Amino acid sequence: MAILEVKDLKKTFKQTPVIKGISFDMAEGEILGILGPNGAGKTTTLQMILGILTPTSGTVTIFGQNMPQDKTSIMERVNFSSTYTDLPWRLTVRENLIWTSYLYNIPDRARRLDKIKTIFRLDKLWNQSTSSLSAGQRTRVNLSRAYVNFPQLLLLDEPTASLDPEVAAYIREFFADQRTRFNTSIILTSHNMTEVENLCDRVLILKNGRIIGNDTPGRLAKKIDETHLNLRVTKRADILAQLIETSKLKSVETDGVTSITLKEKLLPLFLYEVAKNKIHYSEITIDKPTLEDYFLRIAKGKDHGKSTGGDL
Amino acid sequence: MKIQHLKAYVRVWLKLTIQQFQSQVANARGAAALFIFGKLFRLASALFLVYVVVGKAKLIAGYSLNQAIFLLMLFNLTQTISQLFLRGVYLFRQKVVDGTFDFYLLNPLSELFYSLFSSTDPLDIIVSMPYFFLVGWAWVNTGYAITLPVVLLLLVIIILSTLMVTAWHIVIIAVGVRYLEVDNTVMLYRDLERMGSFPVSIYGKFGENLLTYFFPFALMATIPAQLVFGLFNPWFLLLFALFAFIQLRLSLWFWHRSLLSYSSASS
Repeated sequence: MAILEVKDLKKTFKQTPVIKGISFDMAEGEILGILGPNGAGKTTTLQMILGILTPTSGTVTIFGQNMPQDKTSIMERVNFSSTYTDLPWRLTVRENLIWTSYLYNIPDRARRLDKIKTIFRLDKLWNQSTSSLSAGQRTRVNLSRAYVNFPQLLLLDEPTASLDPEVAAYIREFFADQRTRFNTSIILTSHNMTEVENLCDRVLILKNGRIIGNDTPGRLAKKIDETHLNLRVTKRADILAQLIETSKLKSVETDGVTSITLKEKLLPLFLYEVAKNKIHYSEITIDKPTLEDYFLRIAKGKDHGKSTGGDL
Repeated sequence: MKIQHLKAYVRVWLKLTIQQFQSQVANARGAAALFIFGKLFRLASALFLVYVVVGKAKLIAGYSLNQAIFLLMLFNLTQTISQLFLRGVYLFRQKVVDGTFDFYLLNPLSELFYSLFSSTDPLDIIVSMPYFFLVGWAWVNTGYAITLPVVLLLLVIIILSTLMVTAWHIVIIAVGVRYLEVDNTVMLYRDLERMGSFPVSIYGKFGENLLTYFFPFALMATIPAQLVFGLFNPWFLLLFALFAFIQLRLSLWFWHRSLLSYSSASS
């Protein structure tokens, strides 16, 4: 069942269309990534889902209710965290969380806050003022604030930016665990492609206010259809060069390793030709396309699916 | 609105107000003392002005000194009560610029509630005390009877006046959302409001009509005068209530329209 439905959403700022009619939905317990180059409309989309911005047209339905008309009841079950949101500096971490619990009308506050303190490892920071925290610690407090109401839908903007790798890994595991145990749905924007690949069930790619990709990270990466075959050749390098040339493939050589770009489906055939021509090598690796490759291609403005993979 | 929501609003408002008071006591004792002194000075100068004008002219637009003081103090009392709750409006521009308004929009409570009531100033309670006293004192001196029905009706009028003032403050913050401008709109509003604190017949027909029908601040002074001075017309009260509710509806409509053009601090 879809907990979030976005239909033909548009947003125009002073005659400039920023979001040009996007539609998508999200199932309960799903982790959805939103990616796109700068200015693609990611933040505007998140802000319309959260009710910060009012859409010019189109609808956002969360838990079957309309945003922003039913904002009060929707936001009791939704929360948001961004690395870039400031916390009230004068308050301590404890006061910040107490204050948030008031906003969300949390019953049995003391018990809930104790739980949050343990989950986000805040014991040592508990009575420190927010202003004295490092960027990473503030991110952690921000995330803990977003969990005060145990949201069913959580929107995260760069959740692990400025966290050290150990804490970032812990937080990622925590989100995955929350989804498994409580079916929490998460929308995530991040510039960390590995994080998106590992966490997200599905990724939306936005560009110029439109959705240009909507699929699993693996399937999106496959649209690149380009693989890099890396060989450290020990014998008959000239024959390999000829083979690359006649096959109209691209290659680069770095530190004695030849990296050949070719379509994934042509890889077995090319390796057969290498063997047939008795080309010897001491090292072989294959770099399959990743979500990052797909994203970079989108960001550069090339159409996905077109490749320079040769015609063996 | 559900009862539990109402409770949450009251609890958050109380928490915010206590924080505001603690912050004033801890960090800005000097500023708080200056604020109270300034307000009391303003009260004294208004009283002095009425005394001088009526002392020379004996009557101001047909009102005696005590009647004029009663009207002026009642008007100021309404204004102070409104400001007690609506002080946040004066800080609204900063909140839009630094992203605090985004935070208001993000949580389950109404962004309008936050924008209007997030900086309730407890010092205004202290400032409103002399007005309460002077309203009572001037009323006794006018010689008109203080009866329970009149007091109750007066309370209704004060509530309606507060609604009207709230409506105008909603318009001010709506302009703030749209154009990031609050200070000049506040000044414009306060000048017009102050004009309404005197009997409007002194401004001539145009001024009277402007302050009665377009910016109906004059009604905030005229209706209580009619009530206390024995000229009460229930239809006029009904008209006043209608004006207050229409203004509130229009201001809410304008507020929602202005949110359409909001682009958030991060944009």
